[in-house]
Amino acid sequence: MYFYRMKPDAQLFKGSLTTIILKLLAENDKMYGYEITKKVKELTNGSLELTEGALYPALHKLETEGHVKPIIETIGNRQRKYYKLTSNGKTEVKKKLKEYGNFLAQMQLLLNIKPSF
Amino acid sequence: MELSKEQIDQLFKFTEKKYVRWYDLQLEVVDHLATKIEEAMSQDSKLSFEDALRKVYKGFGIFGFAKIVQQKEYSVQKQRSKIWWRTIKEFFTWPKLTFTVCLFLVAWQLSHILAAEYLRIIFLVTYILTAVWLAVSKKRNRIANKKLLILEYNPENNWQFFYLYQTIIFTLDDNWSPLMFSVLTVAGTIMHIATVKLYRSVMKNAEELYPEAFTA
Repeated sequence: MYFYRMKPDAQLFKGSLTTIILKLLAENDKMYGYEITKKVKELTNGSLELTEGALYPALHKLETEGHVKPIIETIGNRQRKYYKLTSNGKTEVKKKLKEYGNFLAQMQLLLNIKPSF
Repeated sequence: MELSKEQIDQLFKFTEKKYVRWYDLQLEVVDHLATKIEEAMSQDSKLSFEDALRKVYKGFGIFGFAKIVQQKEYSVQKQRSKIWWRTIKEFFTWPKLTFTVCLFLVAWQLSHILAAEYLRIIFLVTYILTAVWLAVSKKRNRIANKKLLILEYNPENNWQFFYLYQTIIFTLDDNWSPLMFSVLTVAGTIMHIATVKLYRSVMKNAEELYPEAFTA
């Protein structure tokens, strides 16, 4: 099942969604679901569009694990659920980024390529 | 542009129609739909609310909200299980370990003093009280005038507790060793406490996050 509406190379992002969400929340005090989707699209220049079917289960899982906590605020005529990192979440971000850094280093060795950014 | 209160209410009814029964999940889905609809209508002034909703809903794929609902129900259940087992673990670490040991000793003494039939009556009464309390607690979700997933408690998910009690009630006799009786009494009591604590924890969390669900 496709979790992402995307160009084929974005399949590589599968499995990294939790890390992406945690990192965004570490850089922003709190975010809501759609805001995360927009930010990811903006940062990847439109390459990666998270679908709701991928995003919300990932957020709910982070909530279950105690890495994020919900905050409900009234916005105009409706309520909005924001997510904010807990102290566990802040530790988890550091851990995940380190793991990802190691992963990238290993892939570079294996594939002998350099990123183009 | 901002959607009106009536349009937001329409979105809640829409999510209900599409099998999102829980208010806590509807709130999040409605906000997502509303934000995307507002964006779409801002970009195309000729787009009606209904057409914008159709377009945005299509973006959820052929399964619509089904996957989100299923995953959320699974997450909530997992979170409950985590809280329950964490409470159980507390009774085997300091300082609650002292309670566990004292309870064991009391059960040990009782098993020497009372005949099996009296011990069975004690368990049967506790079992009935717990089952009634859980049934009433389930009804308490209706205190919230909106149904909350985080309050929807399924007692059968604490199957360990119920099977243990049933085993004791139906098989306890004078052939049971004091050790077996004491161990199972401790296990049953700790599970009972964990169940009550879990319910109180989820209720408190629900009242903090969704106070509007508890007003008439």
